[in-house]
Amino acid sequence: MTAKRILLIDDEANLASVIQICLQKLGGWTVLTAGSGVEGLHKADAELPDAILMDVMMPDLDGFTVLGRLKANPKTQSIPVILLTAKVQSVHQDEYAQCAIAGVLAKPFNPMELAHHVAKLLDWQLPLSRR
Amino acid sequence: MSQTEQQLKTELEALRTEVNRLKETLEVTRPQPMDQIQQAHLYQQAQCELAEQRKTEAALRESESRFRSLSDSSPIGIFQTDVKGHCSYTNARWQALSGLTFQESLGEGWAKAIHPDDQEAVFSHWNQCVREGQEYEQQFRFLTPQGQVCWVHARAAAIYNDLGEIIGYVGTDEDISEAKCDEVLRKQFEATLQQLNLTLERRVQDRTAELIQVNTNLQHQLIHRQQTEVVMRRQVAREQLLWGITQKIRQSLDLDEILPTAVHEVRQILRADRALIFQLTMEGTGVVIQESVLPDYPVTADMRFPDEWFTEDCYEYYCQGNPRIVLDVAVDNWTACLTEFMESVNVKSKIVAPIVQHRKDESTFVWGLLIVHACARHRQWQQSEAALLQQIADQMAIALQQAELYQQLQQELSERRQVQVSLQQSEALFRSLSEFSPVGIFRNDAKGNCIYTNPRWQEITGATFAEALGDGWQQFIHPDDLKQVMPQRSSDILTMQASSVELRHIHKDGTIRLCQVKSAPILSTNQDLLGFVGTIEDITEIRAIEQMKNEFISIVSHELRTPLASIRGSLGLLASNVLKDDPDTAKHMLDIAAIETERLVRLVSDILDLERLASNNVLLDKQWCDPNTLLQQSVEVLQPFADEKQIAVSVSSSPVQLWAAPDRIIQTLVNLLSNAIKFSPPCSKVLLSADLQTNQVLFQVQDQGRGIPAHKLEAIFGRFQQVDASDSRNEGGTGLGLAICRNIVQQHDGQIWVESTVGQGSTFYFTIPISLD
Repeated sequence: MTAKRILLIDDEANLASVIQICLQKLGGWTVLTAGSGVEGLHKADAELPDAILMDVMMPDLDGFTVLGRLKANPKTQSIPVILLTAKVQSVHQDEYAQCAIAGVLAKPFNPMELAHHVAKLLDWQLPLSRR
Repeated sequence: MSQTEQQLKTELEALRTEVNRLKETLEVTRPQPMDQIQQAHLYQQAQCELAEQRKTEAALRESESRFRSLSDSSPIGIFQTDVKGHCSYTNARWQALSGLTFQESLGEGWAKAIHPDDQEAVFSHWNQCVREGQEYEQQFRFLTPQGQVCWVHARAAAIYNDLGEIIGYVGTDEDISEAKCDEVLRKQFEATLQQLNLTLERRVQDRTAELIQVNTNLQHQLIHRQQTEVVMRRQVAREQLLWGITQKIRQSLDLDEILPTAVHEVRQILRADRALIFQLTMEGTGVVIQESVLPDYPVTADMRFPDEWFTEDCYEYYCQGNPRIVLDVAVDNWTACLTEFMESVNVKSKIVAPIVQHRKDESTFVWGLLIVHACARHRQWQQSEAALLQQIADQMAIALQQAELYQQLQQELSERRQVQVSLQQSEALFRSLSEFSPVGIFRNDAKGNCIYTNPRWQEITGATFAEALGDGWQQFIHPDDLKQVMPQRSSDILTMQASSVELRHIHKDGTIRLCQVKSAPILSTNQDLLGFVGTIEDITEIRAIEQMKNEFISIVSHELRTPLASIRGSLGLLASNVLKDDPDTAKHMLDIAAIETERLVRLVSDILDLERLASNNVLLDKQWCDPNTLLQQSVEVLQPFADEKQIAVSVSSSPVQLWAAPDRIIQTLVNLLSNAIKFSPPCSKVLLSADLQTNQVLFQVQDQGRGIPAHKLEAIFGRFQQVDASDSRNEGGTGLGLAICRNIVQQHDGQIWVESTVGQGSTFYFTIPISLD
């Protein structure tokens, strides 16, 4: 079975590295990375990942804009998107609820549970050895 | 035969009878037979006598005839009677007067002619005259058979014979009817006159008596008037005295003036030795509260009279306003308890006048007594003096009542003034609360029409007081919001509920102000709606600040959580031994943790620093410092970094002393210089300068970097407002440096700005006043 591929879009390179390691080591998935919204859109369109994990606050295009464009693109519109954000206050919850997303993961996250949360949101099966 | 002839015959017959009677008489008187001579003589004599007799007879006849004619033509009634009163003759006049015929008059027939009322008198007088041999004279009335009355004056005289014997009577009846009538009239007149006289006299007497009485009365009246005048003069004098003292008493409403004036005046007017006011106490006794006394006598004002006790009779007597004269205090039953005391203060006699006052229920009570003493000797006080003293006491009662009312009035006035002052203070307080309130206040009536707005309300909405009145306030509300406000207002009126809404006011200057409007119902004690009171707050800035705050928190949250996420993630992986077989990745994770930790530390430091500066919690340690030194020290900090990028930093400064916090200025300069180096291309130049301007020093940090877009020139001084969001990661900044710089400069009352051209470089300026003074 081919490993699931996740596109990680985040302008924070260090954080992206940590997430990438977490998902690869603990989820067994292939993690593609993009350092900006624009790059993320391109990669999504080109690579058509199984899922997209995306930061909300990014300098060029924020997460919502990228999400809108992904959904607007027939090629990418069915790709489940998980938002990764530090904006977890109540005022933002309504904002997230209205979006067609698979879920939201809050920063900072527990690296040992990240893959588990992602799998749960995407209804994926974690490899037995990673559970 | 005519009546005349018959009458003549009668008369003739009567005359014959008379002649015969005379003959008889002669024969009776004839002498007895005599001798011849004698006889001859006698014959001769007889012849002579006969001749004589014949002559006589003839004479008689003549006389008789003459008398007859006289009698017949006489205007006077003539009658003749015999000695017994039997009529023997009446002439024609008599018959005419009596209404009787000759025959009817004869004998006792004449008596029938006499008026029945006069008969008794006539007969009586006639008999009396006969008895006494006097001539008869009487007036009486004939009453003819025809009923005519005729007054006659009758006279009768006796006819004597030669022997002197009465042989009969002859009389006359003179018609005196006219005279009698005159007499009657006269008598009536006289009677009337007399009556008149009497009446007049009586009237004169009555009038006189009346006049006397009137005169007497007038005299009495005059005396009474004089007495009255005296009394009145005394009364006027007393009134004047009373008026004088009343004026003096009433000139003041102050008891401290009224009482001394009263006793002084009373003592002088009544020439008393002592005058005092004795006020009754609740306990039934009293105390002298004011006194005026001649120097010769002791003062009683400080003395107490615990023994004095008014009997019920005495109190009732005084309560009715009656004065009392005590000519000798030693024998005064009502105040026997005071006798000893009176002696001790030399009182001989006195007048006591009660000062009676009225309660609200019209009942009276004795407030006190106005008393005058005679000490030198017993004095015969007059009722008028007692009356005067009582009048003065009455005036005092009025004055006291007025003074009391005045005091009450003053007290009330004082209280009202206090209330007024309190009200004014309260009004001023509430007015100031409203006028200077930082919150807009409005007041609507029960229908929702505006009746008041305070200055702040007007400031917020831009409407004037007049423009806001009625429904005027509505035109200053955003039309979209007004659609919500109007139903809300109707609902509030209906339910009498408080409400709070946020709505936009369109200010006159065109700006839109977001306002929070709260209103609460004003209810009467009967829970009727009187209107609404409300407040309006301009929450435009608050909302903006809240939004900024939320955004800031959001950013801070993101900025803090991002390095934290990296740290937690990397350290978590390391700790879980997941990377035990991958030492390179493990090392990488460790480096990430270190870098992000450092970033987190900087971030936290800057955030805290900025918050302290923004909240003025930092006390700037100011001192005189040299800008050049500050520039040099700043450069020293960053020299390695500059050297690393081969950037030349040059410094120039005016020689000036600056009153500033050197650490904070250096912090600012380091921030700016750091940015300049950071964003400058390698081998470029950065210039630092401090130039003296009027009262301030202008610092400049000039670079030849990438420049800043025009729309970012202001924003970059905000928090986390870097030109490029990735700068914080790529260039190691926190996004708070310029915000901190601006705060430091503002703390020094300076200004900071930037001039820049994209692609050519930027120059940051800030000014610091030389001295705050």
